[in-house]
Amino acid sequence: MTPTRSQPIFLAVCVAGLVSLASPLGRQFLEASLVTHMLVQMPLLVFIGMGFGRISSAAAAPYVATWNRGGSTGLLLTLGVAMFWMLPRAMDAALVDMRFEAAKFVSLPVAGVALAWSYGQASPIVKGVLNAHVVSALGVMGWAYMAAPVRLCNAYLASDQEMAGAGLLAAGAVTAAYFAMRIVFFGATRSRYIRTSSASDDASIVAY
Amino acid sequence: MRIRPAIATALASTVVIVGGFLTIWQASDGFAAFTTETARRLAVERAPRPIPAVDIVTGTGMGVPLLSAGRPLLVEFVYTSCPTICTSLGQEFLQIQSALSARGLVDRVRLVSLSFDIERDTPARLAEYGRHHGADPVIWTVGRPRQANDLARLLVAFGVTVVPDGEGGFVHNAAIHYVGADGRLSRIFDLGEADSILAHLETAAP
Amino acid sequence: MTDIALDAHRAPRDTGGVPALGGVKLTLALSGAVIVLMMLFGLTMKLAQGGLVAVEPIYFYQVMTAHGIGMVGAAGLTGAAIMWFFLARYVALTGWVYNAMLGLSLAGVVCILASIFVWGFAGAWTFLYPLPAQSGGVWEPGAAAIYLLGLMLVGVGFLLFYLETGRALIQRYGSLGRAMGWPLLLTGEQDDVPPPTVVASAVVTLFNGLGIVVGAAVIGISLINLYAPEFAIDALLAKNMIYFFGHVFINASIYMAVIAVYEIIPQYTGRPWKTSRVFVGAWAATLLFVLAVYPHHLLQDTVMPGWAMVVGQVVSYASGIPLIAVTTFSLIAYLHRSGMRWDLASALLVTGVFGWSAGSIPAILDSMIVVNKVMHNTLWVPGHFHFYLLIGEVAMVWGFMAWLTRESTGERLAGASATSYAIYFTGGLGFVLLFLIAGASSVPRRWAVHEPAWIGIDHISVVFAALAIAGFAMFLVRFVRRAGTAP
Ligand code: HEM
Repeated sequence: MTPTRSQPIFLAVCVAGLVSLASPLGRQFLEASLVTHMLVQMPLLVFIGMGFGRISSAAAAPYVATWNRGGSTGLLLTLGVAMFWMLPRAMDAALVDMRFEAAKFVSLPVAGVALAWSYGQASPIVKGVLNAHVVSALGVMGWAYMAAPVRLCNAYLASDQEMAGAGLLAAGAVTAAYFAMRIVFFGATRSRYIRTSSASDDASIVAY
Repeated sequence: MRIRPAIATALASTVVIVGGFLTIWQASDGFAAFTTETARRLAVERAPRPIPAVDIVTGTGMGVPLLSAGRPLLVEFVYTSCPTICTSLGQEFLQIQSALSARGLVDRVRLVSLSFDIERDTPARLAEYGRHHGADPVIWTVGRPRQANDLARLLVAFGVTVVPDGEGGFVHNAAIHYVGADGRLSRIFDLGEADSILAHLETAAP
Repeated sequence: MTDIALDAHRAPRDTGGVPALGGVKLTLALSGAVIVLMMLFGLTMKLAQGGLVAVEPIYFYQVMTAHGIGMVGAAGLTGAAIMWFFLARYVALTGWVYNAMLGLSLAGVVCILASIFVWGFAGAWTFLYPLPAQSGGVWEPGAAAIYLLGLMLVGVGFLLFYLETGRALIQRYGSLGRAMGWPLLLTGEQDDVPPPTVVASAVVTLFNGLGIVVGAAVIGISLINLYAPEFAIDALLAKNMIYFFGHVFINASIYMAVIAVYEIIPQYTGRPWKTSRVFVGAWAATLLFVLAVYPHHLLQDTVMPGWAMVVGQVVSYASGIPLIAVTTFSLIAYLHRSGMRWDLASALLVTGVFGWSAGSIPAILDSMIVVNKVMHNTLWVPGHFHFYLLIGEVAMVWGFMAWLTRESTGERLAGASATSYAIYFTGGLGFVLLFLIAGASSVPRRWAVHEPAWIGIDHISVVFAALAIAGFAMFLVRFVRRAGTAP
């Protein structure tokens, strides 16, 4: 993101979002049900992280570029964090153990930052694999939450679980439709599809 | 000396992969337990947990010790106004009770239906629950902790989570807990596993 | 014969600049070998059903599973090879992606074959729930898991392939919508109209890409179910998802193969295959049918199976009709009075379009008759898909292979090539017609043992099948001998 006058406002919105999510009231409100915990709070934390990441990516590039060629380190980090919080156990633990709760509020925004710093660097193929993976993973998870014969999270009701499953499926469908629409009508952001030669690793990162 | 990006990235990515793998390995007990419930079962099997020796109030209104020395327990958590899962738990206990009488193993074990609804479950209601499910007091005790403090200790020791369902009822782990003669929780069975429970009782030391 | 056509025959083989050309040829040779082997498996099934050789039902179903998945895989791979080869004329493709696709697919094939013949998986190529998990003790969950893993590898390979074609199309045309020719369709814009190959590739890229994502999800779900059976799969939903990606995948193989017709026939007729509004519209209709209507039916299916099922059948079969009609009529128009020279390649490509369109007629009948469910589980179904796969897809692929390895001096349909073509066509057509006849007389599909009354048909089928196999195998030897030396 190039520095513009709207940037401070954007930053303020992200900070305000993070603070309100982390406030006792915000936590109580969103963690009361599995649906809002998993489908609202956790994605918002990642999105806010992505916001921070966008603002800082140019500044961070000189320091991280060497270690994050093609965005692979950052994308792996994002995937790892996402996988961890997909464990029903981890979500349960966040409710009863402050250490886990704190880890959640740090790791998810960090994953968002890593995603924002890395996605743009990734080759179109890697991006595509990632997008496809997200869609089918949402489908499989949604199914699993709906089909589970037992409660996966001890802290939540079974009806919640079913709703969360349906929500995941819906999210998968919407994501798939979004990606399909984007390539059909807008061809993703075109400039990024034109590949920079592999010799200019660092240059390509700065350009982004 | 400047490190080449390809190598640096390969290194960093490897660290992330290994770190992520180890974290998830650790957090899922080696990919064995993805839910809190499986984790709890695994944990008590690996390291049996002492159960606090509290008194419980039974249908007669009298207090009796939860643990009885030398006799293992099968414990299930219920609340008497429960319309669903506790009924199945009651039926399962009835089945086990009959099987034990038939095999003459009555003194091998005690069955305890433990209510966590200490506000509403009066001795009268506990007695009614026992009658309704055909509990034979010699082998099957229906009771509740005397005070909230004891309840909390029990729930922590057993690792049971009770969530109000918003309609006056509760959601809770549906499981049958085996507490050995040494007063330690060492196995947790699923509903519908009466056969495995009986087998376990026969092999476990009396 | 026009000058252009003559030029085309003398011209170099147009293979220069195709990235991963070696991979493309390897695909054709390997898939050709797989096709012959799987045809022999098909013959084995017929021999068994006709009581001519004794095959235990367990082995029959292993052979059937291998035949189904092997043929579908070979059709997909050969289709992809054709699309890659010709798309490279218009957009800049990256060679390693093709080779990665091939490598992953071969690894997948190894897993699949091992799961079937080493560990005894025999749940049919569609691995319909609950078969993989509940085999009645015939195979272990591990066997099904390896089978699914193999499918997953193939799926990842194809995903890479379509991501690359999609990337290249977008880079050149700006968006897939433009690559599919929609500006022409919607506003009549004549500027930078994509050639037929590009239109076809863009449509296939989009819908097969989505089909693979659905497929990956079903495989994930089936794997979880395998090891945690208490996570029950809704059988109807699983079936629909599997059929969605199964139908999409197999149809895509023909849609890719037909690109060979669009590209090669003009060399013979001297008339370029044009992207018209109708052409773009037909491809758009196919895409819409597949993507909008079919999933819609899929959702309804779980609620009201009866009529929705019928709609689904009709739609999934009818989706290709506009395209088939447009392709067939254009072909006839291009051929008309063109004085085209008939050699093995051109004969096979025309045959392929014939097989594709004629094979769709029983499909339409089937989708209408399915209302009373008479035909649906009979050999009528394999009848129609063998029609458009054996006489359609395989003929197109074979035509492409013949064109790749043709004599630069121009050949005629004579001698060995004429023989192989003639016995293939006679055998193939006879074989599929007998399938249809058996289906019309209510012989069920997927039965290892046939009643005495049906055996007569099986015996004649064996003869026709053997002819078809001989024809294809004869040619394959020539292809392999020449492919190594041809530029
Ligand atoms: C000479 C060539 C062939 C012969 C002799 C042959 C024979 C057979 C036979 C006997 C069956 C089992 C029918 C039943 O009883 O249900 C079958 C099924 C099948 N064949 Fe072929 N076939 C041939 C070519 C092909 C080709 C070229 C393809 C595809 C490209 C193909 C794809 C399939 C599929 C998908 C099935 C369904 C398997 C199932 O029901 O799970 N076959 N074939």
